[in-house]
Amino acid sequence: MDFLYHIIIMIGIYTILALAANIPVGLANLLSLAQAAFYGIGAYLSAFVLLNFNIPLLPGLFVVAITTGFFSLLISLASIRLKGDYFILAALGFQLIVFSVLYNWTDVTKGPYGISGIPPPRLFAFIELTANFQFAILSVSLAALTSFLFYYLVKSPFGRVLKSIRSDELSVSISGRNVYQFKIIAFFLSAGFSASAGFLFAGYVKYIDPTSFTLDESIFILSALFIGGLGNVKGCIVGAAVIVILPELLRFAGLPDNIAANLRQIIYGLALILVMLYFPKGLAGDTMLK
Amino acid sequence: METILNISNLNLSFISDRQKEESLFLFRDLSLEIEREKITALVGGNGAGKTTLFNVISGLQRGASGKVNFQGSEITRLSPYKIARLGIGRLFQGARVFEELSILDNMVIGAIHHANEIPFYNLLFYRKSMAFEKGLEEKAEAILSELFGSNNIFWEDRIKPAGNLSFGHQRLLAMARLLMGNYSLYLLDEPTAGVHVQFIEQIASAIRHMNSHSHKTVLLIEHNMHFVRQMAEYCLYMENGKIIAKGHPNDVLASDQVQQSYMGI
Repeated sequence: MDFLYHIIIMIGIYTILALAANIPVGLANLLSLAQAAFYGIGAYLSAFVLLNFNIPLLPGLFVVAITTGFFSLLISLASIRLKGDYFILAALGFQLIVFSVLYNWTDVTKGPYGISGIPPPRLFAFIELTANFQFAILSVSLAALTSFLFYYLVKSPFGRVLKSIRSDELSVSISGRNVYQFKIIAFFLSAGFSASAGFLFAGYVKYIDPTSFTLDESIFILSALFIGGLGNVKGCIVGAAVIVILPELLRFAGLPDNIAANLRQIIYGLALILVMLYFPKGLAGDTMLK
Repeated sequence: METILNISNLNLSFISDRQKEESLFLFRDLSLEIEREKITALVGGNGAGKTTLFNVISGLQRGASGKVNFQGSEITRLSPYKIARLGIGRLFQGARVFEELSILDNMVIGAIHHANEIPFYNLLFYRKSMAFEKGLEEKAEAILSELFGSNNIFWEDRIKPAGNLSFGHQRLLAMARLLMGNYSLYLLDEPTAGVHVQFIEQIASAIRHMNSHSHKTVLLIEHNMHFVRQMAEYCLYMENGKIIAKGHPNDVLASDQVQQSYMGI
């Protein structure tokens, strides 16, 4: 049963991460390779909060999300001057810098040794979330809340402006909108959502190290988004389910662990190519990547 | 004569040869005034600097010296969105509609930025947000009906993506969208270019609507001289970044200088 809870928790985490990536990528067409950086910053801040402060789940989550949001200013300010491929490279640079800081700033992050013994978050100051089924409920609840917020965002006038930026940034600008302000807010929200996934992850695995937040992880998150599809909630859920369940199926194929691990990368790559070829909008998406 | 836009001593140059430190001047001491509530046509050959002048006015072209005053305020170094908020609307060449958005969303986004566009505003202030959206939709319906009749294709297909429309219809939608912004000055860059003749009269009526119905000022770039004669009350002829003739369109277009340089007669 614990295995099933684990799958549910991971689908919840990746649904949140895919929804977070969907804001800049799916709505505003800003291909962000820095999503794992936000996820990592959120996870490390969560570890710090859970280890040092005795605050309940919701305020803790809020503090972590807002603080990570401010880190996003570093990347969103780059998006003001850099467009297209140049922005992608800037986001890649941000991802590499964050990983490097997490890996080398040993006094704070403990570097490659990681941070262990992270206490589980507490609900309302007295219920400690220790059991996997409790985490599964929390994961599904947070994914549902993020989906709800994302749905409202897409349908809102704010979402409409982001979608128009994706279509023609210049026309949005001469319609009286400060495009940069919208991009900054989009990244802030994306970082905040990613941080909540980081909070969930840190509290669940109780041990984090920088290797969970590499460029590979950013690509993994984007793969979930592209396989599922851009621009809506269902695409993110489908994408998260596919990338979490697909490698687990390999376990039942009876392959040795060392082969299965390598095969996993090949299968992700192949899945991505096939989806791009036969489902350009993803399995359940609304729009195509430009 | 009351002016709405006043450009004085505008200079814009590009470095054409870094080694020789030579500059290519696009505008050198360009000055002009646009009269309020009139339709003015800006004509001239390709490369004369008409679209660049529009870019300078709307804040898209940086690096120009001199002054651009709009309704008494200097807008020379303002961002495009601030200039739009002050009341200058711009129609680009080409269709430039938001193809993935619905026709109605294209219209609504033409209205200047409002509090409703703050994230989750619709969640926190649902009724207020819905009422505001409804107001914008009613305004869009009114503009579309007034321009294209009550049974127009735009309102009937309002939930369909604007990308499904023909080029001519997209151009008309872009014109109608501009009216959502309630601008005081409309800069129209070749409104009839590439448009089938059947749409030209509708474009003309949209421009007349801007001017006579809403008492707004229109400055248009146009290569269709018949359209210029039909629409404009005043005409500026531009060559090599300078205004070399101005006056009534018939007089300007008939002048020997313009006939020689523009029409090669």
